[in-house]
Amino acid sequence: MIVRVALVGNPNVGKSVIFNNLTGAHQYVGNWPGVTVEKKEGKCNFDDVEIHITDLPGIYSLTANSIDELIARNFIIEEKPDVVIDIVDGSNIERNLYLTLQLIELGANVVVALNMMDLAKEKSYEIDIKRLEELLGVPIVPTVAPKKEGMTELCEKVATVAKRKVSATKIRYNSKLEDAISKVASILSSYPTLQKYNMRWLAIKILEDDGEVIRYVKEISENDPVVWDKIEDIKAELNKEFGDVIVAMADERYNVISQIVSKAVKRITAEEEVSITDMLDEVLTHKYLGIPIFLAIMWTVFQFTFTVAAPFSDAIDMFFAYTADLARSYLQPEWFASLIADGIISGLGFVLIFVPNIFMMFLALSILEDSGYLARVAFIMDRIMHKLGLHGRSFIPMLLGFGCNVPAIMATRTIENENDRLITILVNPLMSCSARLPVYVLFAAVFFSGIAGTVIFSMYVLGIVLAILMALLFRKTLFPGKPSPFIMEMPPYLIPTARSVLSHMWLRGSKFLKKAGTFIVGGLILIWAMSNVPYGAPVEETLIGQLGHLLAPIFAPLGWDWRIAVALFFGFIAKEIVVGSLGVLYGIENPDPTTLYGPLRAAMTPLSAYALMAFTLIYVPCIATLATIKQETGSIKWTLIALAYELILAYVVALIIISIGSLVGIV
Amino acid sequence: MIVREAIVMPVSMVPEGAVVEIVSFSQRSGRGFIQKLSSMGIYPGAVIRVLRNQFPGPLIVDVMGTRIMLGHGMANRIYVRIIR
Amino acid sequence: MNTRNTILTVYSTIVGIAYLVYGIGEIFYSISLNSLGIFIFPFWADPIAGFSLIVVSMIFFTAAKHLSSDHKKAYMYIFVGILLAALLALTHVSVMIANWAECCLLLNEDYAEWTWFSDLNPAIPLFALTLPLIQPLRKIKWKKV
Repeated sequence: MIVRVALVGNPNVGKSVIFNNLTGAHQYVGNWPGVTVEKKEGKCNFDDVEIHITDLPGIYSLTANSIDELIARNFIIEEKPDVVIDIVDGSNIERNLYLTLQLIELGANVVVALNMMDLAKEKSYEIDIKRLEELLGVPIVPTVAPKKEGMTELCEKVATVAKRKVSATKIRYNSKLEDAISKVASILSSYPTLQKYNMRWLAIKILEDDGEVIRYVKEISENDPVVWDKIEDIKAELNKEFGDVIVAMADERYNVISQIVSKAVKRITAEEEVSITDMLDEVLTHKYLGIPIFLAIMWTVFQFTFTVAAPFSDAIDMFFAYTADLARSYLQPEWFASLIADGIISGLGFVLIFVPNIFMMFLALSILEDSGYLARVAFIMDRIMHKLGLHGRSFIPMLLGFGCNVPAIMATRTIENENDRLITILVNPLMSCSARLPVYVLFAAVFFSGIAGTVIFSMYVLGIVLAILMALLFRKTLFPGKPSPFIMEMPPYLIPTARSVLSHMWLRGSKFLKKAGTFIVGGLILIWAMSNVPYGAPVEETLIGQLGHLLAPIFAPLGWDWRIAVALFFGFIAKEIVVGSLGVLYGIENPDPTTLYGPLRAAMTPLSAYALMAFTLIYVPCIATLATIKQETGSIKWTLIALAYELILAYVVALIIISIGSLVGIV
Repeated sequence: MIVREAIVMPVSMVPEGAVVEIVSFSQRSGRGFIQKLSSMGIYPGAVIRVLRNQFPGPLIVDVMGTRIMLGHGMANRIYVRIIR
Repeated sequence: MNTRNTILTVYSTIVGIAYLVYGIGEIFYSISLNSLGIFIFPFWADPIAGFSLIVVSMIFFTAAKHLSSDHKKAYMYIFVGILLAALLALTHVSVMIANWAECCLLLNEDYAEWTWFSDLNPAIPLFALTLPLIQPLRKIKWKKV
């Protein structure tokens, strides 16, 4: 027997954990068609029953106001899953039941998974499950997801109720509302096409001014004025009685909920006890201490990302250098040895050197996220972000952008409002990602030794300043209007489990690796090919040299020669390549950058070097980032706009730097 | 008899630690605004506690045991009455 | 209760001052790169590390301030202060281990002159300084969530 199941629930209730528990390795992640919302499906087996599970987005209710809610409810209505598992946070029952009631209104075959029972116990709640089942009219299975408790019972219950017919719910709202609901329902029942839907639910939605339902019913009823006048009358009556029907409905639902809860849930101890979350929040969201504490924590993150990861990177470096040497010594003919050693092995090594850094950063960020701290960061930063026309929630993708723009842009999914999201995405590449660091380090060491650290720091600052300016600019021109209302739940602080942290780290890190890896390795091989055709010729005469001379005139006003031009061109593929290609272009085999110092000093001045660093910061997001932008925005238009504005901005800024510099007399 | 402050004000002006009762939403509030807030536990008649108020910044309120962060734009449109 | 409070206030303030002094010291040391006389531990040349020490000092000062009025609140600050102190100390220890790996496992020439001593940082003993404050914390009843 095959049973089709949908998983719903509020955000932060442990839905993903339960999904993973049930489906394990048998899951498939994709997108809901036409939108950039993630869709997860999986399978699990129980006895002789095969259960197909679809994970719906985390939602607070079933209105038509957001994509997530529409996806969830359309799935339930159209696909008609056999069972809908509603995951309810047992330590937060009242608010969670709001969604449950709506699912019951919808007529879905609901099984409630009462999760976080351990937290409920901590909060001194005593839940009489049998009584709750009676009052709600749906089966309830207690679970503790991280410990995998209750999973088999859940499957069992699902299998049992799967094929039964859903009986009409006995939950009733107050008489005036019920009156109106049945009146509208009976009007609707004269349309046979509507019979396949739950009349009561349709009626409730019409009374609540639900855009989608009204549109659909109007279509079916061909906008029959007689019908709609009657409906409007009913609504008007209700409005007179209750002021605002929408508010009245919400109020009623909570009324019913509190009645149920008062009968089935008891709280033993006094409320005034202080919890660890309160303690942490008192300090971490402190008006003045909040931001400095955040900075201190970010400092530790960076220490781990760079210094602590360094030995691993160096180890990888040594390994690849060694293997490359082996290849060079033992392979024939020479061009083949070069292809393997300088092209493939060095190329691969080049990418893999960054792995410890990237994974360390994502590990740290996963810990921060799973513990719940990141939500507080959104709060602390909100005031500042607001001045930029954005939210606190946009801050986190910006932060991730310092590591790598690819997962950073993916992280913008949590931003509901399209405009806010677009601005955050467009501005993100200005956050100096770690790939650009080798370029800064190289040029700072060559031209600004002594104040190298400060110069590199100034690049980051420049990026942030430009991001702020561009965000303001975008807000004023392309996306006028205020940032959308900001409301976000802050989960209690938890000690993250190793399992979830590692899996998050792996998820983000591997995305970076896959995308970047293919492009960077491919790019380096391409460069190797172009610089070695014809083989043995001096660099200027190879394909790469010819390309350089083609591009040189564009960059001449900035004081950069053809080699720089080519290096920048390849930086388009991946910023990491810029340094590597410079090595190739100056005919240096040794991957040690210090050998570049001489040739570089001869080729440019400190001023044009600084302009170059700025240019690298701004000019173009690497291909992987562009691909991610296209994927997340779903449009070529914005991807091209991102590409265009950055190129222009980069050139302009570099030009400004050179002009101001020469005016002031710096060379 | 419970003595309540008669003044109705936006929750953005409520001091930290105060317990308030939601009275109404601003006239200009759209359907989406009201429904979103309601689904999270903030609806007329509900009682919530203000935990953090960094006027003119965002607020943190305690709603039915959950902590929720409200942007000040939203906080300005929720009218409340102080109970405690 | 009152003497206990006073002891706590004084101790908290001392911890705060210690962190403050070393924090400022570290910042100046890193900027001017001067040897500032005799110190117990050599410094790192990282201004933000110094900044984090100052942040911790502020937390302990706030704790001391609250101890006279609302001691429950004060304990919160002490709790977080100790946590943050632990985090900083942990970070420095991790860096030391990483550098040790560079020097002695990988035999990296850049680290030829490295010794355990070259990375010792005030954050570590300062954290030890905060540990006695854990004792009064255990007296409070708090719940997990």
